[in-house]
Amino acid sequence: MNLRAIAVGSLKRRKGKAALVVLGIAVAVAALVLVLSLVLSLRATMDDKLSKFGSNLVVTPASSRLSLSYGGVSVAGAGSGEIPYLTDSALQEVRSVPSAAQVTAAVPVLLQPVKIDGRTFLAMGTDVAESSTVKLWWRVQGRVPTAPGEVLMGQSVRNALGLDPGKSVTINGRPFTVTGWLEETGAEEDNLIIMPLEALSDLTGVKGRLNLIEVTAASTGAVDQLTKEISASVPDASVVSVKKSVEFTNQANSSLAGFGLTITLLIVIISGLVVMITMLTSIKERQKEIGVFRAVGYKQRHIGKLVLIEATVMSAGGAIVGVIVGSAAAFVVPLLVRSLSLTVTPNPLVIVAGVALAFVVGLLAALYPARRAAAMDPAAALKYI
Amino acid sequence: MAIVRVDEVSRHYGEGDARVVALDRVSLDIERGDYTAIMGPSGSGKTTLLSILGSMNPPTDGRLLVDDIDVYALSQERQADLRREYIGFVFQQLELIPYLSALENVMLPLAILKESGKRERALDALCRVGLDERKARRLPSELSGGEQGRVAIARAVVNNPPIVLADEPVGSLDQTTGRQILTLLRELADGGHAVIMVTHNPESTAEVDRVIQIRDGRITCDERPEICTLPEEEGEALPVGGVAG
Repeated sequence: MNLRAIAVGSLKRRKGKAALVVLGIAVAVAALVLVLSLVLSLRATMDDKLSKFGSNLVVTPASSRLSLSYGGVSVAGAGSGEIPYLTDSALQEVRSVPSAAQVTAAVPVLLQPVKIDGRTFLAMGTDVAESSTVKLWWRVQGRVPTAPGEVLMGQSVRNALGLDPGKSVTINGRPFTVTGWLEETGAEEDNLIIMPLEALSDLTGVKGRLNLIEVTAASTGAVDQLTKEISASVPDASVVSVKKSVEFTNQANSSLAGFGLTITLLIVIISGLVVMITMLTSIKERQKEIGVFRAVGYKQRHIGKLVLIEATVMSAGGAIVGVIVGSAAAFVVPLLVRSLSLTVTPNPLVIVAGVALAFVVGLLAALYPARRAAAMDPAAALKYI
Repeated sequence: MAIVRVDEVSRHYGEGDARVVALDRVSLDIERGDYTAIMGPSGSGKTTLLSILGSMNPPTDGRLLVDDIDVYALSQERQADLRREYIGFVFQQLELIPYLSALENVMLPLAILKESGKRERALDALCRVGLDERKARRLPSELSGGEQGRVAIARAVVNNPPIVLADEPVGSLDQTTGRQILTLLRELADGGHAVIMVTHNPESTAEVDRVIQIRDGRITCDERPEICTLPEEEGEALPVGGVAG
């Protein structure tokens, strides 16, 4: 027999109190597991949605002379007499960075001024199909261009030219067919004529060059790493992260996590107090028993150790119950609240955090009772004073 | 050399007007093999003396020497060691741990030791008080009062301490069981233990070698039992015999 056997025996004897302590710890653990699971799933879902909201990174030629603007990012050199371009290999290099798996889309963009009926418009040559996949806010009336002789009009251009799908338009003296137009986006697309990259290259004679590459990361968390890697792979380019969506994502995630963790912290504090008060009551009830232990030669540290062993056993119980209940709740809550449209997947880190919390709460809450028990005067405990 | 020497020990509780003198300059020696009863009316100081002898209640003045060791000059930790090595307790209500079996109760003083053979020693102690292995597996609640008393005595002697302190060991037992326990204590003394028993019942002193009577914190008699007895619980007549301090 050793102290562990005595502690376990004591817990068996006081099943009610032990169950209360286990319950207190389990509530704290379940709350943490539930909140962390939901926050992480919400973050993943939001990340996914925001990632699809557009590019996170724009790769442009490295130049300080900027004038043309698109997507909130200026394209270097226009109006200065010389427009710098990205090298031919830039697109391939972007797609070949070490974290290429984190790249959802890399869309090449060539921006060139074109003439229609003597008026100047900005034309964008790109992979129109991929671009429309990434830019979920595009609402195309008609269809996107698939052949070199086809174009898509921004809302403002369509209004200015009065062209509907199926009509022909002469751009820089060459005929094109309008396949569709974009509903008003409120962004630069409204002023663009969009056509396949090869078509604009042929039309303007700017072949094998790009003004920029729009990169969409698989998650906002990958943006910083991709920025570094693309900067290293394409040294003559400037890589700019589209901060707004990243910051919005981070801010939303932080607020959500903060709220959830504040609630959890409150639950943890209340649970810790319940555990501590229950253990203090138990210690008081066992006063005489502790007196006997001291009388037969147990030192203060032996008594403290006994209480802490009991707390450890109860913490383990609380961890098991809490992780199971919290995980079950994390799966049930999204089913009950369908508007969340969440998919919760088991996360080992959440379980580790839950188990760690159980022991932190259990042992911290037991420290004071353990000290009280250890400091108990054996003579007083045995009513000898 | 006396295994226990109480040297001018006083114990006060409270301060000022609330000051109570529980023991007043008490001195005595106890040898190995002595079977001693400490008697006195309620509030006389006998339980205080027992707790001081048990290294659990430091005196206000004076010294307790156990095997020539000044007990209360030791640290709390060393006092705990000394209790384990030198002193076995038999408590008034026996105070067996209800969730531990008889064997585990006897092993209690050994549980904190890192040594082998603890179970065998506990079984041997139980055997010495007449309990077999079958009884050893039972919880205290599954044993008779007498058997519980035997377990309490086995726990007190499992470490083979030179001193056994018993606080009203038969107070809660029926007459037959009480007699068995007193006989067991006598056997312990015959085996070389210094057995010190607190009692207020003169009948419990039938087998003791020596009675120490205490009144108002002072030893009023320290003699053989037939000489040094209280006529009644709150007895008035002082016995014939040595009167200390």
